[in-house]
Amino acid sequence: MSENNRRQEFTQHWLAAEPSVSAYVFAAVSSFHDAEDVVQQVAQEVARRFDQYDSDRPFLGWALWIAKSRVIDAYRKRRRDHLVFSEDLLQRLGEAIAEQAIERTDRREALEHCLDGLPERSRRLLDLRYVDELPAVDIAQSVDSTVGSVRVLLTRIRKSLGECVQRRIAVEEA
Amino acid sequence: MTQINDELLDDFLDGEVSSEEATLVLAWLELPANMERYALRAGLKADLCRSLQRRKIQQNALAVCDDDSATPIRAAVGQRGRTSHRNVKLAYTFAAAALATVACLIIAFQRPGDLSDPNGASSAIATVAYQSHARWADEQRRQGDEVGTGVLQLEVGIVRLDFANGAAVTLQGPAEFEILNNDHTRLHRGILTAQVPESAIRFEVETPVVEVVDLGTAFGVSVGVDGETDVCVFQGEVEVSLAGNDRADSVQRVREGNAVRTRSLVNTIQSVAYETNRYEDAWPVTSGVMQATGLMKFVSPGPEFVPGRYEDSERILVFSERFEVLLETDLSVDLIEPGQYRRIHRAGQELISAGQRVNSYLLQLDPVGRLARDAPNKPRAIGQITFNKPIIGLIGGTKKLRETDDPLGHPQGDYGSLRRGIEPPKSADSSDAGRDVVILSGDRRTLSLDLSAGTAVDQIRVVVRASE
Repeated sequence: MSENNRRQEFTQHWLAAEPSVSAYVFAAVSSFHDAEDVVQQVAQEVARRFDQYDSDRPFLGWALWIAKSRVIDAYRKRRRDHLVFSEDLLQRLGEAIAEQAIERTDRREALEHCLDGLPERSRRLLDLRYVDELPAVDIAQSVDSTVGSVRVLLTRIRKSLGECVQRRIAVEEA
Repeated sequence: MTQINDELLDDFLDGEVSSEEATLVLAWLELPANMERYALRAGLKADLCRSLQRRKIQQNALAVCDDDSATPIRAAVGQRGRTSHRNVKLAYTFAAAALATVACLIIAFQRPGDLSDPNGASSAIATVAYQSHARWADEQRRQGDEVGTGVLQLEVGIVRLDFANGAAVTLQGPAEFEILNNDHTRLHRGILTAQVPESAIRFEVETPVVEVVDLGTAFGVSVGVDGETDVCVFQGEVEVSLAGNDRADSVQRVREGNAVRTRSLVNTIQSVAYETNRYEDAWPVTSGVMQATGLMKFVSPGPEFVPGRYEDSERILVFSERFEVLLETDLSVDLIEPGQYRRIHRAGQELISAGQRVNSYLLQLDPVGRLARDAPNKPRAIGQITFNKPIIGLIGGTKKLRETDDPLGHPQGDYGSLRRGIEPPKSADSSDAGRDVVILSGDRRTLSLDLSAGTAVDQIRVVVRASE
């Protein structure tokens, strides 16, 4: 296989698997920075070892298997992270993520539409949380509110987004 | 009692929960349905991060674009300005996506050499030296195959890996083992035993919860599915520290005959009883014994299981005595040639020339207690043992056994002053009954013994070449 074909094949596989790999890593590593780092490490390792990938097996399973090792590495570096899964839990998390992979792309597309319809204030809270990566206490200071209130608001926003995603998927499937 | 709801799950995902809440969520995740719900919630978080960050990048790019809109060229577009702006927005979006893809590919398609350590990640680091009933999950490997960095998944069986630096690691399936570089490995789960010579001191085995650094030893490591790790030191000593903890006071030295345990979420290394049962299949292979059949038993590793301290009335015991001994002078032995022997210590003088590195083993039939010369029904044991390297000498007479106790005997062995060795027949023409028989195979790797206990302790020291 030529280098170009190989790259093309890898790109297709990775683009399809990346949402699930990200979900897996974000589920297992709570720090934004660490999670992003781990996803990048997985991308690099998957590409570097792409020659070893057995195309008779699901690419996602292989990528998640590599992700599991990198998550364990991340645990070693940050042992005080509350989110420390056992190997068994990591295994079962991977299985759950893989089972949901088929509809993950649809979910991501639906989320884009749902975000477009979000009120400005809600968007600002989400940006502070997921773009600026601020903890609830700093967000509260930034919007002149309380930590409890910020947490409740963020939960409500995520809940409404989750319901919006479900509705859109249901409409598209109907 | 704290209720598990989406708010708590989100806080958990963001790392903003107490230890008690984290424990509660982890327990809650044991149910498969709960894990599915959690995976969905995590997917939403990941998608939100990705989408919002991408939007921010686009927004910043368009802000730059909007600054440019004041220039005469853009103003000249006139009526088509709106369409143009939209095109510019799309162009920036695609440009950003294209750049991201290119960046991804540039990073991702670096060849192994580009990312590897100076040791050369892709080159062979170890060799599959032995396999028994091995089934690999990822790819089939054969004896003699070379392996480099990467993860090895052994579903069942026993596999010995000989590292280029001299370390020998035996895996017992199911096991997931990763080679990081020449002297750094990781056991994700399963059982291994390792024998590390001086040339590979500071050979390291990581597990999900501890790091084990060898200080010139033999040891066993087992990792359960939950990451719980046991480290058992057979010889010498190792350093054990909690994974990811660089504090010097977290390092524990564990000496031979001791064992420690730790598990996920526990920041202590706990001493536990020295139990070697789980290593008894892998350890002989690490020691260089590929197979022992019949009434032949490889003793458990550890200071209590050495010659003089351990007896068995029914089986021939195999003690691993010394590894990688450099012979500084010629060594006088009883036998060096293949064949069948009954008068082993009356055979001629044979020499193993100086300069060779050897491993030594003691095979012994030593019934509990003392036997009278005319005792009836003396124990008899027949067995066969195969080594991974050629046998270059056998020692079966009391004098030579004693002479070689110092350079080749077990450091903690108590060889006593009793008469030892393979006993000769009472007379040259007596029947074979009750006589010790030794057979060394043509390839020098297999030794068959038919030993009958007598007044002397039946012992034979086997000298095996340490490297080809």
